[in-house]
Amino acid sequence: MENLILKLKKQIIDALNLEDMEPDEIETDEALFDDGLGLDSIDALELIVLTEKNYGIKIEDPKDGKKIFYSVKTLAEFIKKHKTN
Amino acid sequence: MVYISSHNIISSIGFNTYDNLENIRKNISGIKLSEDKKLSPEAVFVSLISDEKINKKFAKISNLTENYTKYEKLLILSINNALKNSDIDILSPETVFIFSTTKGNINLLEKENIGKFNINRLKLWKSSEIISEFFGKKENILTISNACISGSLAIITAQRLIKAKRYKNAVIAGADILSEFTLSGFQAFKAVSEGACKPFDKNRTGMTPGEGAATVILTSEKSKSNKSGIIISGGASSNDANHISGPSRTGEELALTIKSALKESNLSAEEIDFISGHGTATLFNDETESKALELAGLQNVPVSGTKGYIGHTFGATGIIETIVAEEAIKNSEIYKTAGFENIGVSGKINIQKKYKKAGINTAVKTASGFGGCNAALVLKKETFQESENKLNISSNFNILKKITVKNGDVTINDIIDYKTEEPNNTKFSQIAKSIYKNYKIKYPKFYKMDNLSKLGFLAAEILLKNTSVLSKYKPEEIAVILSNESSSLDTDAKYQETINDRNNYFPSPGVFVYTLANIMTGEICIRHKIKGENAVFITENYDKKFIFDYISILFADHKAKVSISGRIDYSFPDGNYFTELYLIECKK
Repeated sequence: MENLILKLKKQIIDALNLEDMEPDEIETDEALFDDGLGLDSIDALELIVLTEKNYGIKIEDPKDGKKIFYSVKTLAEFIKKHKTN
Repeated sequence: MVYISSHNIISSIGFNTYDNLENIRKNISGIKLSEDKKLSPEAVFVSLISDEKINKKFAKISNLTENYTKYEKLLILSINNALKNSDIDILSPETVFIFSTTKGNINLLEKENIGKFNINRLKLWKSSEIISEFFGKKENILTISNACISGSLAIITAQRLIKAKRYKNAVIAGADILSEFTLSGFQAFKAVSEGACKPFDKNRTGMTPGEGAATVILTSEKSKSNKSGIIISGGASSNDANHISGPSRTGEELALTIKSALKESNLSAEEIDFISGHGTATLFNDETESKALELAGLQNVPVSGTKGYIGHTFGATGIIETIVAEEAIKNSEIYKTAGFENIGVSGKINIQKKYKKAGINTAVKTASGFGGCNAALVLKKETFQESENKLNISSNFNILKKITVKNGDVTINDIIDYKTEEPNNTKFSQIAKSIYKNYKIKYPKFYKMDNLSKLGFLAAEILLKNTSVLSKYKPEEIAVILSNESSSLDTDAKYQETINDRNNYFPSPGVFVYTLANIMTGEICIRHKIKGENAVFITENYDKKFIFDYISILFADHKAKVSISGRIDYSFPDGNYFTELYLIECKK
């Protein structure tokens, strides 16, 4: 889980162009959207692509994203639960 | 007066205005489920015009079918048909051609199309030139690419140029074709409807992408061809300054735009009989549009939308729906909004459920698009509440400041302010970062922008620094009028890479959103809370004289009091970049 969390943080920084940010600056439990990292709706869509591209998990309804992408921790738990291979 | 003299609509339900309207009256939609794998890996509801039909029609006017792309053929057919009912001299220097499109020949970026046509055909100014040349027209050609308001904005621009006596006639033609590019992008945005789109409906799930072309001919002279006497009496554009892909939460910016177009027309909201709406059927756009219509005082006026019949035709839609407004006035009729059953928006509006006959003297056409842009047009019978605002244009502006960004160096009023220390071949993204740091800018969203937006953002940042315009003027009094050569092609090519391989097919919404030239306008407006007039012109050469003249017309027409204007170009395919921005203030 720790490895997955670190990997995810790196992937998020890369996919969302969070330049000048280091993985340990993203709090694992902290909200990614709104008050947290200040991500927006396009970032949420980009995270859907990230999840599918890197972990083969499709999120059909963007509304589900709210819970899944709440924090790095919720995303890691979602991936762990749904990853098939 | 600016008369509508003639027009044409080409869509999935017809090759001229008459056939399109006949089908709308009969409630026939052109939206179908496409299983064409080339267009989309998954089946999708779209509104298409078949190549076969286009080529058959084209063969009747030219034997050079192979020389033109689908996009170009659609526009040639549309202009050709509109000219049949018009007596204007198109080759005269008093006639301007104005094209509107979002993506032009974008399908030429696809692997299988590379080499079929010169790469220059991807340039929007180039395709406009080629289409104009078909008619023997070589000069006085403009191209506007401003997302989904492009068509409306092209008509507004023509109306202004005619009103200011720069031209007597204008041929305004807009089109877009559907390609994997556009479709995959809107799918990545989860914005495509599950079935045919349902504008303003409770159960709407998104838009239906469509193909189309349309032409409107405007003229200052009344003649046989415009005996119906319907005029474009006002027009305005604006920016939400909210988000590059999400519209305003309140609708107040579009409402102000409508009010500005009404004021120019000397009409009140109570005098409006009909609204030809934008109604894309996306969750957010319809919601915002409904709020804006209510805020503008148009809550009781019947609204019709065409997108349930022919989908969203992007660069053509503003022209098509302006023609629909003109036909509603001319034929005394109001069209059904296909797909609409139960109201699903919070603004109080009157969506038309059925076709009906009704006397109509006046109409409003609304439009909104990515980059936060809005536009509104007013049409009326010339005999209704006669009056005309004359424009008094003399040297009516002062240049407050000038910025250039070139080869990594920044100049302010032609004096070098920042000299890059980066070696010659440094990537622009690195240079942009150095400039950003040098000017101590704090705006993390900067890193998410594409090259073109970064360029515009940095120049506007330095331009507005230590000036008082943002506090001196209201947001809606500040215009952003820009031009460039390559539109967003640098980013378009990057987006194409995300969809080139079907085994590694991950269309990126974060890249797609920047595949419109006017996103740079949106970024500047969001950053500085600017809500005034918007436009992006695509021209081969830097058309400074035209830009300055356009601004003086805006000032004389009371559409702006200050403007951020000039050239912002990130050149494709060579990656050269150049920005020259002026801060221009209207003289008291």
